[in-house]
Amino acid sequence: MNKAKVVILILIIAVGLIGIPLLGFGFSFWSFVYWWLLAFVISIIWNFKVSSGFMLWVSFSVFLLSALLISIGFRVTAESLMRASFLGWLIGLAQSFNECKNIEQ
Amino acid sequence: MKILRHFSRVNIDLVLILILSTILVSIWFRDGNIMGGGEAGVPFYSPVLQFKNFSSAWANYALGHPTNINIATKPTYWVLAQLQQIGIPGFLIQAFFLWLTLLGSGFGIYYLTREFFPQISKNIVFLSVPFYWFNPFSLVNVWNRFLSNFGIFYAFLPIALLLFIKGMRTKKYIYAILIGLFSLIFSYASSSVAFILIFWLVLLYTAFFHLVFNKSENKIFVVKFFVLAFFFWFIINFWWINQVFSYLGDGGFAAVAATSFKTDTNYQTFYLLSQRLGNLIDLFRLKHASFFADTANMDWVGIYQFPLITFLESLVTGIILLPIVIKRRQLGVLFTGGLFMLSIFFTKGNNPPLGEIFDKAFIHLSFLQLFRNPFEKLGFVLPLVSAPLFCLGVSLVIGRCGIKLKKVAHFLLLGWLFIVWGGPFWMSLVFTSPGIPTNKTDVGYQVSVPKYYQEASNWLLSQGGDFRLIVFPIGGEGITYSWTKGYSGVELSNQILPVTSVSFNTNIPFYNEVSASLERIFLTRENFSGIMDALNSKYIVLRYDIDWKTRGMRDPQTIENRLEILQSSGKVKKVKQFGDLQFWEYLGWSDRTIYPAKQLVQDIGVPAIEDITNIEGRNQILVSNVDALKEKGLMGSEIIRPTYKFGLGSKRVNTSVNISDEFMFPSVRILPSDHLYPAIMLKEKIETSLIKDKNTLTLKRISLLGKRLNEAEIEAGKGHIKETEQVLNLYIRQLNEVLPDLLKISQIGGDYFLLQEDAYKIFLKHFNRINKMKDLLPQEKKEEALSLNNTLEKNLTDHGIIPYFGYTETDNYPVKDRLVYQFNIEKDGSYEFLLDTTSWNKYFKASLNRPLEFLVDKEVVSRQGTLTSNKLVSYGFFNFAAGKHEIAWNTPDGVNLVESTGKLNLKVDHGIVEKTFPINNLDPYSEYVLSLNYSIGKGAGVEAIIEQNNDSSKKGKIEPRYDKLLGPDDYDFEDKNFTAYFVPSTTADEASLILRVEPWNNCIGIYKDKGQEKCLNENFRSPYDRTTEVSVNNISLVKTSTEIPILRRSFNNSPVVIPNISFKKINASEYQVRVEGAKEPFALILSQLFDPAWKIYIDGEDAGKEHFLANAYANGWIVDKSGNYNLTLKFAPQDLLLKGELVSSLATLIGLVLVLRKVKKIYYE
Repeated sequence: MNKAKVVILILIIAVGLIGIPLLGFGFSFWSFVYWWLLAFVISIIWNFKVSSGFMLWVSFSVFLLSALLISIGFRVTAESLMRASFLGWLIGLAQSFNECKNIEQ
Repeated sequence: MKILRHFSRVNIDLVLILILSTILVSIWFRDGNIMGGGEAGVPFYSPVLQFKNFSSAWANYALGHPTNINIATKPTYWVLAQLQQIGIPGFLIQAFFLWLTLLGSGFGIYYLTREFFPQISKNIVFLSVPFYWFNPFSLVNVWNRFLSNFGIFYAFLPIALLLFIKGMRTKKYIYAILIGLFSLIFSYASSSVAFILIFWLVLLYTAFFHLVFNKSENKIFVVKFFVLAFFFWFIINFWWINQVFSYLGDGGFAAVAATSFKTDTNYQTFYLLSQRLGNLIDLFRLKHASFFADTANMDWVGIYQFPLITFLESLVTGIILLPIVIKRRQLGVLFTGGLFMLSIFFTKGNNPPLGEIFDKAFIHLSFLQLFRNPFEKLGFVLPLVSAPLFCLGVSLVIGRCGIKLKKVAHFLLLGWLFIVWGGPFWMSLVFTSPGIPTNKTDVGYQVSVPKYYQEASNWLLSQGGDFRLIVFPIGGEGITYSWTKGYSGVELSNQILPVTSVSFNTNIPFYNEVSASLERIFLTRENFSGIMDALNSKYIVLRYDIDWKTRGMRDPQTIENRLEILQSSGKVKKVKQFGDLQFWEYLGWSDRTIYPAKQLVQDIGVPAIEDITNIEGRNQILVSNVDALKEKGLMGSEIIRPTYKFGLGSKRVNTSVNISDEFMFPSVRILPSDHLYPAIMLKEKIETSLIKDKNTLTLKRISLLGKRLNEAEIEAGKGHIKETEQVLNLYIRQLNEVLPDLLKISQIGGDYFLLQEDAYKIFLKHFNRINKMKDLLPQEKKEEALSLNNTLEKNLTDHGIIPYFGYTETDNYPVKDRLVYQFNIEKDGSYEFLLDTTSWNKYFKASLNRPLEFLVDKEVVSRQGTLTSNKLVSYGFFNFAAGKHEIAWNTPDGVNLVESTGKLNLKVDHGIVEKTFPINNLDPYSEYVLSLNYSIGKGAGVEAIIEQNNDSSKKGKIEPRYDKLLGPDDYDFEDKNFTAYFVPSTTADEASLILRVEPWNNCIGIYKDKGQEKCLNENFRSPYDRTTEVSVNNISLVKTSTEIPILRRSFNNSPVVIPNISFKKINASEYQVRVEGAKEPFALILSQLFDPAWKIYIDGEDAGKEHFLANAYANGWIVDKSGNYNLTLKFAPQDLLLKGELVSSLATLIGLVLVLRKVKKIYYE
């Protein structure tokens, strides 16, 4: 990982941790966690060049786990996992979009 | 041939869709009844009437209102009306309508799926049809909601997307034309702006997608195609689009926006619905969380709670998601997958994750308030994209199975779609809802309007003239009819009777003022004839066929009793009865659609139609403040209503708001002179931004004002004058920010969050702090502190927080339950003071025979009241100079309205023991304070219930609206006092206070984890009963003073000579008027709801410079022309509508010619 990336990664996390609340957004703790998770996952993808396939499979697995939890009544935990999975879907699809665009070009 | 060949390939599936649609509607309409309910009403009872009401720019409905976007339904109603006129019954027309919806949606999604994924086999593509029809989202939002525009949009969306994508793929502009033509066929869907936005957002996403993934030479085509599609759609729909722009442009929308389009309220709705319906575990399964959880009211939804079903639902979603993982680089998958996730993102509202994006957009982009229920509107995209993805997922899963397993899997999937999801459709359960009577499976949404409505309609049509009905009892927007196949939904009078009526209450500006007060005025005022005249009402309709208790409406018998009294005084006469409908004719009726006003009364303050009853004599017209009317000497008198009301010394009960000094003047650690002070400002900004609740936020901001004063005081003490000035400037700035919100949340009395007197007391302390600070400042700055106090006082009086003259107190007149009313007087003069104290002897230790003491500004006066007509008491005349004036009084001691007999001991071992106290002289338009002392000797405490005669029942048990449990306290066993406000239902006539005790019982506690439902069985439960023993005394219920005073003044103008007027109604939007013998300026009134777009033309020239609000709802103009002449009253958007219809017709014609040419070309090829 080169130094420039490290600096940008730190900046992304810093914006996630400090910057966004300072902009006046009304945040609950869990909202903040998901923003942070988004920044964290993006930084991981960026630094470790994780493919969309991996991202989407992980999201799919988390979704299935969540589905199992819903059916046995753990709705709160299932919802948290589903939210994490949803972030994965968004990121994975954005990656796929980018990959497809590069292939088309 | 090409087209025919194409059809032959898929014809089996198409025939299947046709057969299934036919079977479904045959099941739904097998009893020969129309269906209706909810917000839709019963439009298929009489499409002819619907067409008549909504075919011109001004809707002939209630008091009238702009048809606006509803004009988009005109072509559909025209077709349906033709069907009715050739004798097809309403239920068949409706069945045909739903059949077309099923066909449209079925064909649309079928071909769309094929377009996205042509590689999938036909039998799998067919699964998209039952998926789209029966999925849980469609079940709730399309079928159960049962709104026609929702259904049409649901059918149109896949067709429009299919045409758009086909156009992009084949590069043929004819598809852009087809989108326009189809939008005309499905124009009913355009009656919702939200749907138009969704439609274009989906097409914009599609265009964007093609722009990104098309080669550069094709990108120009994409842009051109999109622009052409939009342009053609725009001109083909121009007839209704111009009505929307016209509505947005005139003042009518501004009035609606001011009353209904409130960001705060919409945001609260958005926030709550996002929380309730925006959980991803529900959205991914396309489920409406509340609907499928309501097993208490709809047993059948319970099946969807079974763990296995829940798991299988998730597996179905898994099938939808699988292609996104496996085929992520296929463009069709990327398109549908991307749209699926985007629609989930927006449908969940501001729920996490990343909900803050939508949250901020919602607050700052006002048009997004259309999506305050994001699930209901944006959710439509979910089935649209998940159906094709589901088919692809099935194809991927089945593709990996052996032949036998393939068949089994296919069979199971069909079973899921047609039985688990489709079951409620085959059994018509989808057309049931929680309320009475639609929760009964044999009734559901079926409606059988009794035959006597047809007889009443025929009779009304035979009466001639242009008049309105007033239908009593009046409830809210909704009503429940007790017909054999009953109805629950929006009130129906305007849909089932051919004469417009005031029959419901809703939030339409000006209409609301009339409808909300009509029943009260009818029951409590003498001069109701004035209201009948003002509304141009010939008949009062009394209905007994409603379930008035379920809707919390008034007992019709009370209305009939009042009508009997009016009949005995010769004002009304019962003329007809059809079944449960009675028609009472107003004997003084003459057609007052358009008429010249004889005497004008200026209504200052909030215009209230009630003030018509406060004027002596007939033909008096209420007008709001119009200078030109005064200049021309048309004003006969004026009525002034108070601008603000203040109260001090009322009972403060049951509020947990913290107004302690510690909270209101927080301690200060870092001062403005400290370099860290900017960080404190930032911290406060973050803290306040985290508070979602408006009331808590306002209180926090008041506390920060206290903090500013603390800071200023400390800085002043240290001699830091500059910092003191800075922080005081900040104080004023923050004060001006908080005062408007404070006015909204503070109330005079009752169980409110913050009482006005709390605010008064807090700011009284602010005055003291500033005075104290003055002593710390150098001499030259003392003046500034004084001016700060003046500024504070001015701001507080301007915002109605404190009275202008304060709460004056003398030895002989102390402050005791003080009420102050502030009036804005425009001109010096003598004003008569009127107050409804006629019944005070029943409620207070006061009598009409004894003088009452008032404070007029700062002076105590004692006046003897004299009864005037219309039950108002005159307390004589007062000379007031122009400016603010206040009249105040101490509310007399109340009379106890319940007859309590000393100490009451209630003891129960088993069952229920209760004591009932009838409430004497219940005035439902007032408020009461209930107070009692109680002591719990043993057991479960005592319930204080107030049962009203219109409380609803559930399973034979009355469900009182007022029910407080005064439970035991584990620690303190002393006597306790309970004091609370009781606000009765304004439609109740009688009420009783009930004190009820039940045995202490721990059955549920014992069986909490072992089947607590057993405790519902009385025999099982009773062995766990233990004695409850309570004593109650000092029971009292007293009325508060809610009567609003008015000031009245008469002018000595000579009576106006009015001309003769005759008129001809051209249509609902236009009248031709003949004026004869006009000698001087006069006011002309049109009894239609006030709207700035109503214009008056004399000889073709706009002559309506002075257009004013008359009678609190109608239109009035000053006509300043003498002699005999014609004039026209017209709702201006009608001209635009005619032009728009011409443009749309031409565009349709051009479109059809282009399409037919194309078809011909294909045929010859």
